[in-house]
Amino acid sequence: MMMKRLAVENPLLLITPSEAEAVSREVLARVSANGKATVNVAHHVTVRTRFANNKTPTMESEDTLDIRLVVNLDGKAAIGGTSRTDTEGLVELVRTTEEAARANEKDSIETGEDLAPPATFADPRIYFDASVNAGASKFQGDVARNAAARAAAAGLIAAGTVEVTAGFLLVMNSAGFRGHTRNTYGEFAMTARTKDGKGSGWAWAGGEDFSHVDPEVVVERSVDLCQRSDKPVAVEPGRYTVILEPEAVAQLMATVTGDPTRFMSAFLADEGVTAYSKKEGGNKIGLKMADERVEILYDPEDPDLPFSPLNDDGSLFSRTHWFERGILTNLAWDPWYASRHNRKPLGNPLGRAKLDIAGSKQTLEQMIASTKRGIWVHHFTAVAPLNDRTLLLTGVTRDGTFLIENGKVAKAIKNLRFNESPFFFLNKLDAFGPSGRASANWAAPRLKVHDFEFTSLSDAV
Amino acid sequence: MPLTRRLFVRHATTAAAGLIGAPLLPSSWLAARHSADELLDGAAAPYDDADVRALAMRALDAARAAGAKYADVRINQSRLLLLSMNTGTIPADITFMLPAVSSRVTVGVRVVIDGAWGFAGGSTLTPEGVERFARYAAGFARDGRQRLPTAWEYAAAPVVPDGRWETPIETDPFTIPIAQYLQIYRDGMTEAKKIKEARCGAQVYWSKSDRLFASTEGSMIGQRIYESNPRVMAYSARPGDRRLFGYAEVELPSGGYGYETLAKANLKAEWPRAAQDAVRQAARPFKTAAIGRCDVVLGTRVMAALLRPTSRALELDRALGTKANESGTTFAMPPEDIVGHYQLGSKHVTITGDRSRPRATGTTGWDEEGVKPEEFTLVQDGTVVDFVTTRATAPALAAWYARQSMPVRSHGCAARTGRLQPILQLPNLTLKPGAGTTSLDDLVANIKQGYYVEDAYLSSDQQQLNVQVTASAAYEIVRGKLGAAVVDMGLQFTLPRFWQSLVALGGVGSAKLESISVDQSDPDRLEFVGACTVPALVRQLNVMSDGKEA
Repeated sequence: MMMKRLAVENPLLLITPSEAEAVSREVLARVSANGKATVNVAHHVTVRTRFANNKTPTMESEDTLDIRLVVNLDGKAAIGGTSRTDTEGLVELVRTTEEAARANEKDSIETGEDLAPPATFADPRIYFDASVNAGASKFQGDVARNAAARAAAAGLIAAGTVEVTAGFLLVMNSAGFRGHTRNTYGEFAMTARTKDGKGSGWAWAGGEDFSHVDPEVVVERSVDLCQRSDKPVAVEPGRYTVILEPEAVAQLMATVTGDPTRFMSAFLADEGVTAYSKKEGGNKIGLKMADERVEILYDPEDPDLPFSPLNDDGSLFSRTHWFERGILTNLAWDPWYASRHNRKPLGNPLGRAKLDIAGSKQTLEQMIASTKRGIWVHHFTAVAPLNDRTLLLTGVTRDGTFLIENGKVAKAIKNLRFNESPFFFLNKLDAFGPSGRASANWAAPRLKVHDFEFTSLSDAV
Repeated sequence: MPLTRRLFVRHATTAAAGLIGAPLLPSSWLAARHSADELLDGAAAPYDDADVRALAMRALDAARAAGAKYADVRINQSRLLLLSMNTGTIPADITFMLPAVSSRVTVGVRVVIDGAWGFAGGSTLTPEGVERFARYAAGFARDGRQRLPTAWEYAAAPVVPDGRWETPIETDPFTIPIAQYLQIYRDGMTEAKKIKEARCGAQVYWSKSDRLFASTEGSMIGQRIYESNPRVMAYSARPGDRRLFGYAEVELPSGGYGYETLAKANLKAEWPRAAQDAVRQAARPFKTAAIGRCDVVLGTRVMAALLRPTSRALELDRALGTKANESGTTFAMPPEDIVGHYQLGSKHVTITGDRSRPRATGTTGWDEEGVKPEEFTLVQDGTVVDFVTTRATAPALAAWYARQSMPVRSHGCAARTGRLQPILQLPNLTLKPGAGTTSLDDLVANIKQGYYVEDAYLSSDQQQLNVQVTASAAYEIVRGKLGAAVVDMGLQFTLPRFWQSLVALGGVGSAKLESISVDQSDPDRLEFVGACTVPALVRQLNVMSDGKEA
């Protein structure tokens, strides 16, 4: 691969492994002799350009450096953080963290007691010079100006964001584990609106390798959706067959492995507070919760959603199914909770996961052609759980909602609020496409689902 | 000058790549709890330190040298203490999560060149670091600007050459050893867990932020902002479905408070009382809601939650389309057609904003654009009369302000500091109480058949128009009295319809200051603001039930 020279002052410049290791060694050297410690050095730099009203008002960079220490002193533990890398700052980090640990109870949960043993791992390809180059302000300014010019030429008003992040993580512990990783991620999203505010279209593309993100495709798609969604008419809320674009599926699925299930925590499921809790107590592992073709999994090597196997406690992620043949097969086991249940700890990589559905795939055209009456959804707004126990969600469609009649896209319709749970619609599958990248953290297919419940109409565009 | 600081300076200038240089900080910014020492040696507050001020000036000089027409710089030293604990089945006794302590120093430089904004921020608080951020920001503004020059408008604000403001507290929570906090909570919880059917949890959150703001206009402002957000909870599983809980909290003040609030609290007595309350709640008969239109009384927490989408709809940047690709726009646009005309609600509805209410979480001496906040009215007797503004947005309403003989000025709603670019953020909000002495009970007594929603969370669309409320604590009202608890209840309405159907408000005696979350948790963000509300009676709302399971 040809290495492009970095722009002279590209802000996407990460701390080097040797700099991070020096910081980490200094922290470990200062931890008390009886201490078991894990140190993280995490560094993220983002360059972002936002434009709106066909203008480019702001470009910004955010540089976040975080030194994190988990220390366990004879069974008493605490966690500390600082942004400082100088000796004085690191001394302070160790002092305050150890003081907090000494004040703590023994056997607090999350003890930081079981240190990861030394291990090696290999990252998939997740760091790309093309993405680093996309952090250059000239490049981002051009993307924004071109998008705005295209929207203006079409008589529309555009707003959008182009954003690239480079990240670094080093993990070291007092048992000799040492590992580091770096990655890039970039995305471009645009919303085009008609001047009278009656039509709106949104499109997105993103991934670790920004050379696969084509801003022009995003611009054309949002402009096209906006034009076709203009002057929508109202349809009655109710149960409809829906075709959900992969990006919309990802918005709903993010709740399955994310915060509403507290990242699939086995502890919280057993505590009775998540969708994986049984009414009578205990969790739902082993229960069929979705259509038997449904697989939900993560895999660091998955080309659709690659990530580093390195977890911040030094444990390593490997291919794991949360759901297999529709059955809940795993929950996330924190080390402290796993040890109380004689289980192996199992991590959740920030909710990252893929929805894959086994069986023969359909194209969009096939899905539309076989629909007598249905609604085609591109994007939702504000997806939020109504009920953590059932994972019943609500949200409102936006940026391109269409009525399908007799196998054809008939007209643009006003937006609708839905009340649905992934564990309802994953049992109502009519058709599905291949899975692909659909958000920063999810890969998902286009879905066709029957009896998707819309509860009210919204005049919002 | 303390020796340590000199060492930093030397270390910083020799750091190889300049990426991980040491911050240039006075020792008073270093230690988590050296306030006593500061007093002893007579050292000035950190934002008064000459070296930190010099660093801010250096950033501004670098921005000017790079061609900035205007520039500002923010430095934030934040400290955070988080503790959480609960009684649980596993292990059976009190469980403490790991105490978390953090200390971060960040800096950001914002510039304007040819009408375009650039911003760069990070944690490299060295002379080289701040100069680099200034250069980045200038490069961003240059490369992001329009091909044709654009006018740059920034509402005027008085220059504050030497501003100082601190949250008025009695005891800095960071002077108290962590062991003391744990002891207080352990003692309270030991009493609370004697109530066998209840489980208990608590979260301790203290933050302290030392900030310096400087601008090329000549302002230099130092602030120390404290925030406390404690939660002391008890819950009890309902027989028959252990996923449903009775829930109660010990009321501790949250907002601009110090350790004194905890020192005055009597957790040993109050926590068992909350636990008993939770057990009573769990034993209370419960039912699901009857679907249909109904009169509803909403408590102060729900009204506080509703002030969020209502005032979001009146964010001027949103109304100008700036957030169209992200969280969306608003039903209240274009702003020049809305202001002075739009009937948002009934005559009972008056909503004000401020960042100056004593003790509220969003309160500050100056905002992140150096503006002294003032109270302002968003909705007067049901009509929208203003928007939430910053210096960058306020000029869009110049014509309206001129007609009202008001100056074009920011309402001081710029938030986010340090490594993050300031944005327009919601201020503290107030729903004006009704005249008279109406209490919550009086409102409930007015209803033959309906519901009282005590607590809820809500979802609104990208124009803050269609809102769905999910009740987390609700009761039926039968002949003017509270009856059974209601589970899985929701409400759905459009926001203007809601405010237009509001027929009565509690009086000033029923007012309560709540905290609402407006941003993610991050030391450089404004996470909570205050919302002072009263209970309300709203006629004929659409009631839903959302308890179905797969």
